[in-house]
Amino acid sequence: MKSFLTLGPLLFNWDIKKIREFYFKIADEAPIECVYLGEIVCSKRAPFLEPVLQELTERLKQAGKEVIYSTSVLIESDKELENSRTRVQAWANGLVEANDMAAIHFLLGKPHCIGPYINVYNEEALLYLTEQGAIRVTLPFELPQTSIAALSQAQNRANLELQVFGRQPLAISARCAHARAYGLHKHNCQLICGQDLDGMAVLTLNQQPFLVVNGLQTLSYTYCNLIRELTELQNLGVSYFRLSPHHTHMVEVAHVFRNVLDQKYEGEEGYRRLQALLPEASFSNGFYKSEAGYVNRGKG
Amino acid sequence: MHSKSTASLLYTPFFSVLTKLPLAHALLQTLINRTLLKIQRHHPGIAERLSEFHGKTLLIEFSDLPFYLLLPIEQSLKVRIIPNRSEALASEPFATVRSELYSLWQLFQGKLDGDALFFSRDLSIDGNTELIVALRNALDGVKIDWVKDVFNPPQILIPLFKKTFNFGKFVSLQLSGDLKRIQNTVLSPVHKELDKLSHSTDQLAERMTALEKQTKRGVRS
Amino acid sequence: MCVPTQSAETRKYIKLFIQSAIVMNTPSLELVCPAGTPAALKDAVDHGADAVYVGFRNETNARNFPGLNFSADELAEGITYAHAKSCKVFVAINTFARAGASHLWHQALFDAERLKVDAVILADLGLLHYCHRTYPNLRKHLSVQASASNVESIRFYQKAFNVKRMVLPRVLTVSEIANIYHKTHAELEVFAFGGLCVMAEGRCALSSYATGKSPNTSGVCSPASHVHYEKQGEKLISKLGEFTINVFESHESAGYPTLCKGRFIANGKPLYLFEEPVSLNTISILDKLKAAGVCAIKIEGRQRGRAYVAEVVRSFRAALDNPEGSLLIPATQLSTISEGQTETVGSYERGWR
Repeated sequence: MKSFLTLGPLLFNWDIKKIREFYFKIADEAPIECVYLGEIVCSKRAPFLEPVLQELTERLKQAGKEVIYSTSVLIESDKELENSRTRVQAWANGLVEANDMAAIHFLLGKPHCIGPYINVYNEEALLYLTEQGAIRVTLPFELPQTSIAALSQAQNRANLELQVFGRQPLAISARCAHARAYGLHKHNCQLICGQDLDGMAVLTLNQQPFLVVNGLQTLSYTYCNLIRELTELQNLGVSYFRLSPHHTHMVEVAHVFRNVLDQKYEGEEGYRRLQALLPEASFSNGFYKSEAGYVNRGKG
Repeated sequence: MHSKSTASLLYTPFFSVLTKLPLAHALLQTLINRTLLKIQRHHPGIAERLSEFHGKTLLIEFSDLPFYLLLPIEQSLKVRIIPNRSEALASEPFATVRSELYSLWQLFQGKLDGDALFFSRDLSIDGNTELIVALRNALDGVKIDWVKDVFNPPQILIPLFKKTFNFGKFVSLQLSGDLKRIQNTVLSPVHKELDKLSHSTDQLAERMTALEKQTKRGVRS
Repeated sequence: MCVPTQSAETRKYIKLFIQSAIVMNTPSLELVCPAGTPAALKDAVDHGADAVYVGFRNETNARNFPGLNFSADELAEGITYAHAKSCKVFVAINTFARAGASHLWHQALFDAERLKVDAVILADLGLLHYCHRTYPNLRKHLSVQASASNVESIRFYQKAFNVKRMVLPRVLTVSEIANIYHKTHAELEVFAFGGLCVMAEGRCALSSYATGKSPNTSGVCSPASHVHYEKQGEKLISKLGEFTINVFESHESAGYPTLCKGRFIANGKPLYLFEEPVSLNTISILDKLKAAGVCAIKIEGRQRGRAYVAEVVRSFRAALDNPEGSLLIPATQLSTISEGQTETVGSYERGWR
């Protein structure tokens, strides 16, 4: 079975210049088959991405990459709901990834993707969604290997995708912790989250790095890194491997993952190369290993 | 208020004796264990809810009494009274809960909310929090009918038993201790009203006294 | 011209009369109360609950705490007791079935149906689908863990699984709730008192990131098995697994280290980054919730003791039965049992966000 490398939606609030440069470079240089686009974290950021969305899509498609529109994680007001509906309906470039039940409702009966923010914890949920038109399902971040194995064995026509690199989204709130930390109110937040390109670090009171906050979203401080588990995942039947965009050498990161997927070198070698590329980052694979998410376990 | 209630307890002759004599310890231990036995006979659910902790020991520390209770979690719950801390710790308790006797007693009866007690820092815990939570839930999960389930002790123990059990008097003191926490929230307007009321009551009382005196003087003269 | 004058007293009585007439003509809010144990169930029923919600003693419910919850036999007794006093019983089967182990969740549904519960509270798509096919007549409520926060999601659950009632996430404002009611006419149940989830429920893995156990996977958040308290001089440190969640000075109320209610350092300073350790209390806005179309109010706290259940149920019963007169007293009684002993109306008023 062929293994595909995908680039998840950008979670952070980068300025448009940086976003264009980033995706152009991905289009030109990254060995990635599929790119998810869309502002999924905060509806206040969406208007900034909108004007360049088509340009980015065309550029990525010209480079031979599939482009999928990814919907908001948390939809509350009718305005957000209507915006989401409009964007889904206006998307003429292929598939849409649903990250909220409302989006699933818009997409019922049409081929679509299920994002990792939809709770697919068991075979029945997976089968139900497949019956409704899901053709690719990205599994929730906290699923352990045992669940992934059980799900991939379920009689199922959908392809399974899993995030294998990047900080893991852990929670979303109606309240903006990013604005709170800067003493601002959500309604007048000045999009302060744009200051932290990989999220704002959250430390415990004894200075231990713990989480990062990205607007309404809270992520892990550690970077999920399942490069050592790629071969096992391939054998389990997972066929799409998601990298989450960060302010780092994403093209090089993609090459390392591609090489391990193609068995050019071992996962351990890939792990060492990622360490060299991101010397500041701490990696984790705890969720996969049925442990606390921050834990990082080697072989054995 | 808490210290007052504690003090008044410790001044009772019963307790001042009880807390010092080994014989009294033995007596109290027997008393507690008989009570526990009876409760468990009527409420087998307690042991069932604690089944995953069998073999572990809980240490109960009273901040206002000079002895400790060890509670090994078994199919049948029995306590051991230990006079000093080092000996209590030697049994390597899995968890420790510490508070005043009243608070623990109230908690045991499900009359006081354990979380509230903890939030106000009147109760502190050490070691395995899960065991304490489980015990709290297990005890909280039964409604102990003290008369039916427990009151049937041997004749000779009845006076002692009643004395131990007769904590009801102090409940009101306990509650007034809780009031201090309420003050800074919603009760302050009520308190102001009460202050006013009690002030005017005082004034009335003063006037009454004055009037009485005047009347008496009037009668005399 | 003679202007009719009324004394303040008369006006007050007229107002009261009109209000009670309005109240009498619309069905009262259903008071849905937590019961972690059979004794708490009895207390909730005795103190005036219209319905109690419970869970089985395993990972099928989101309060899978040590020593808590019901065996099937205990539930049967509880249902008999509640039904004799015209109180309904709802069973929360609101975690997400583990792949390869769905039988545990199916057994819970089987028992719930067999024991004739009044409704099951579900969150998992797989389980909703299974329940809809297997027990079409079993009344389904959508758990807050499903986090249905908008009109379209609610329509989906209505259409796909015939879900009758939606327990709304604790992130919506009163006007958003009114809008949802207006557009879906679903039965809406909202949280009225107790712990406040600041994160979208059922979509939070903070707890499993720190401990390996989360509400979705194990039915616990910030589990007691991973909680430790350390004394450091006068300070009390609360930890969850490896992580310090809070440090309390001697004058501060302590708190359970629920992850999202912790104090952390962000942007260089320590703060309650996500939420202060406060408790939700809507007793002052019950009329607004009712006017918004809410049909039932829910008290959080199956993990809290009987004392808590009795106190909160009594207070809310009084407030519902006598909306004018009882506002002050329940609030004062409730504040002592609140987490952190302070209260908020949370997201229901917009300023919270």
